[in-house]
Amino acid sequence: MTLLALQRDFRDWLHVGEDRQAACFPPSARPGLAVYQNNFRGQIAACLGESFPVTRSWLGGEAFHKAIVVHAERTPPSSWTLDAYPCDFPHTLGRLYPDDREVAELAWLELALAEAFVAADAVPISADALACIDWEHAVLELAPSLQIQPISTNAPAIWSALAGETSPPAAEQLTEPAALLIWRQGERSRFRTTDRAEADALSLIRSGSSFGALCTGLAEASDGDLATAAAASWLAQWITDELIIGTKGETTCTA
Amino acid sequence: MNTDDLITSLSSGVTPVSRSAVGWRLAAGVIVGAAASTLLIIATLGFRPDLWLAMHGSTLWMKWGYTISLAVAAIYATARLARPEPGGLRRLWLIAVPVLGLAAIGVNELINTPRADWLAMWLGQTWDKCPWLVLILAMPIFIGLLWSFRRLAPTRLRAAGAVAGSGAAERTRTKFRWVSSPAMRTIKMHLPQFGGFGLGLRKPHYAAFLDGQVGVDFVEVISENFMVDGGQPRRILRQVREHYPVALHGVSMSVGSADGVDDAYLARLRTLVDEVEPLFVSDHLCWTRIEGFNSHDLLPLPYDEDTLNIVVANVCRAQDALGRAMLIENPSSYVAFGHSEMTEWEFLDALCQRSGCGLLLDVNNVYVSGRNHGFDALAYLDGVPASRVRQVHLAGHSQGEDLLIDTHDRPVCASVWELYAHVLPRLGPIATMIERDDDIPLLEELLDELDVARGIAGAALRKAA
Repeated sequence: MTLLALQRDFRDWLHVGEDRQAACFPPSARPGLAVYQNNFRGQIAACLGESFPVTRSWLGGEAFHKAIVVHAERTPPSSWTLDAYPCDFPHTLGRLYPDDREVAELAWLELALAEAFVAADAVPISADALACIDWEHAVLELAPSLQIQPISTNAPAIWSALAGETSPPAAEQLTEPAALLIWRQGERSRFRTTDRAEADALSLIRSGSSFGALCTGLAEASDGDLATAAAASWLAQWITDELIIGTKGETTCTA
Repeated sequence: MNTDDLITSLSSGVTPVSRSAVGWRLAAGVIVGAAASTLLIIATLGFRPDLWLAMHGSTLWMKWGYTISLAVAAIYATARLARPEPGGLRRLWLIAVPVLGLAAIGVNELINTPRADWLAMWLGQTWDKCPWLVLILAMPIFIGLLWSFRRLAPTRLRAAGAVAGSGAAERTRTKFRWVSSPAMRTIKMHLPQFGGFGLGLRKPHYAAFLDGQVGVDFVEVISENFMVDGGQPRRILRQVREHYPVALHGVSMSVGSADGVDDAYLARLRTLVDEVEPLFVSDHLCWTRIEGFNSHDLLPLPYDEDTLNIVVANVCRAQDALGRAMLIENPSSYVAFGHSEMTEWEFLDALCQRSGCGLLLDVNNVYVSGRNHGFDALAYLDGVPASRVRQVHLAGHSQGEDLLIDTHDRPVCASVWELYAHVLPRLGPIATMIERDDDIPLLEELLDELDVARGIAGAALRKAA
């Protein structure tokens, strides 16, 4: 037997774990095979349990465990890091609970907070640099940790309650389309809910549009003064949140 | 017939010789000989499996540059000696530049290497085969150059023959780089000796290590926990590194995978290695991944020639990607394969010899595997290649239903301490650490356990002396 054939048999035993796969090995190997399979299943369950404590609390231990079993069968780990395994779990939850969309959104929020925690480092733009920006032409660079996700339920409120160990609100559908922003400020992951207009503006900025082009687009779509006021308000919030880490383009200051 | 008539009769009917005739003749000899030599290499040795990765590293190009510079100089000398009046060969002193440069690097490496490792470093892993292979594979080019000389007019025959042979050898060595990683690899394969005592860096103890006041000589971290883009983990590692030497210990390289090691993984690990400048970089003799499936467990290997070839190729590839030698750790295992052809320590010995890697000897794993598979742990420790061991792990284990399980969740047991004391005289002062990954106790408790290791090591080494 080649090493490749042996490793395929071993993989099938770990993933499927039935007698047919175990039959590829001599009977004397059964106790050892059981140890490896137990380790494999234990690692997956521990990884997902530790990655989604709030979702687990919301769903209940039994339902969460069933979701783990379904996910493990459909999606065996593939990355070199176990930290990547939770990435597809919100999708699995979305399929398992199509009528309870807060479940997948809760899981996504937990996943995004963990990813922001280890995202690439970036220094927020300084006050001096802000003073020199030519806002008409500046293209803003956003923090690499920023993630933007449309949401349709009150999952953030549920997360905040459960994380704070208080009684969570009942799940609700939002009346207006909304979005969730997640990023890291210093060494803390943060999130806030916003409307789709700000989320779309941030997506536009991240795609490379200048701040001037954003303002022009807003003015064309609605009342000019209101648009300018909205853009100014967002910008102030982005600076406060340390979402802006630099600009591309000329500055108004001379050296 | 007077002299003028003689010259006239000799020169009449002689077709003019092109100024580039010598060059064309030599080029034909070299190209045909090189083609034959290349075919011979492909037919007998094949290309090295990690060629593509090696081409992305500096080592291969440094070796290639060295040999090609000698080959160019030798062929230049051949062209000069191919004429009746070779003219000045004074520029040939340029040949000495790459030789002296390499010698300087070699001397510097030797100065920074323990005397006991000098011979191994000087000879490399292929000293007994390389010279003969180069000699045989250079023959076609040598014959090609001699064929060129037959139509030319060398008058300094010994010198012409010598430089033709030299040119052929260097051309062959240039190509030889593509099929193997011979002698010069040893320059980068030096493994430092370090005789301190350390602990694994675990979350409950971060604050103490950040202060730099913990009484350890080094810390070991799980590489994968820090192979992230940024954030707190990287900042903590940078700060800890300011106070302590750091060993990077991995669990996901999968040097036993039949489908090779993961380039993306190696690239991330290299980034961390460059930032941390670790004391050691280690991983396990196991496989974790195959064809896109990752078990995240240290799975066992059969110890046969097929596996050895795969592990050697994977370790060499990893070492080239990381730009340094690695340590490979013996794992705890729960399944042994009937078709194994050698013991684990014989396998590790062969792996060290063929890849240039060192060993991380986990004494607890020797005990656990010995109990699980019925081999003698003392025979293992007596058989392991002591000169390649650079680090020792000590840990606790648990009794499972049928087997001992390497749980790292309790203190080191008495039997493992005895094995540690047994092997120390063979190893000498050696970097030793306590591994605890679960049920992590107070730091003071681990430091007390590390003091036990210090005491045993001191006593064992005094006794051996």
